[in-house]
Amino acid sequence: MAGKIIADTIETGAGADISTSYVVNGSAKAWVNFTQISTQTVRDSFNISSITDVSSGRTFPISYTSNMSDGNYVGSLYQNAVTGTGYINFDNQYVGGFGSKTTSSFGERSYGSSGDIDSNAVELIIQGDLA
Amino acid sequence: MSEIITDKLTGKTSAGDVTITSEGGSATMQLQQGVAKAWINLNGTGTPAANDSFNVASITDTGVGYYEVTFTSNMSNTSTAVSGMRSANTDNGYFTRCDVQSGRTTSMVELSSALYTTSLSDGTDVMGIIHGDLA
Repeated sequence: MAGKIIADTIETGAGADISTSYVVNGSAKAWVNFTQISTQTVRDSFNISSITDVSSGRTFPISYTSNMSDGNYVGSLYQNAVTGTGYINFDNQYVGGFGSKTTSSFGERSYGSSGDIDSNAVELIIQGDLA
Repeated sequence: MSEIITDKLTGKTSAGDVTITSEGGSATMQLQQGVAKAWINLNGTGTPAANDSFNVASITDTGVGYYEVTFTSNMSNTSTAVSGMRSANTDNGYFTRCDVQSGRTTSMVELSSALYTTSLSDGTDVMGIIHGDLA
């Protein structure tokens, strides 16, 4: 049986509570971990329906399963701009591109010292309002 | 479908610990720790204004590319985890960044934004996410 809880407050300690607005507004609405090496592949994700390989280092659109309410949402991006995945593997003096945000999708561009490049580690977290 | 309507949830064993079960079913975590306590998407050109936000009371322009973001409900300490980005949606550049400055208190965090150069500049789509403990 599917369950549903509707609450205004969650207590965090004696005399302290947290509004359920933090649960709703503070929860990530989507996240994705994917590689751009060879065939772009999603390793794991939440609320992401598909990604499309545009060209080297570029993935657009990255589409939501459930859409956002508008394009004013927030994202946090990490792209390592190399083929490795270890903690020492990065060439990201450039943060990378995150944009073209719509209610249904957004785009990501990986960039390193040699220009556009496929990254083995592309990680994005989306915060904002669902439709 | 079942539905519980209530104003407040309290841990049964420990009042301050509401746990949720992991997707894999083998772990639990404290619900409150996993949610962002504030986030903002702001337009820093002219007078800075939020395009959208959560738990943000105000934005102060502290210089070109600098924005002091004040919380509605304060954090309990300054050991927050803050990440930021500046989108290329409407800025003429792809390689952007949004750094977290040292100016950080329980009531605010200072963000900065730049394109791919080292010079700070105002952006129309500057984003920050704050995790940590509320006061």
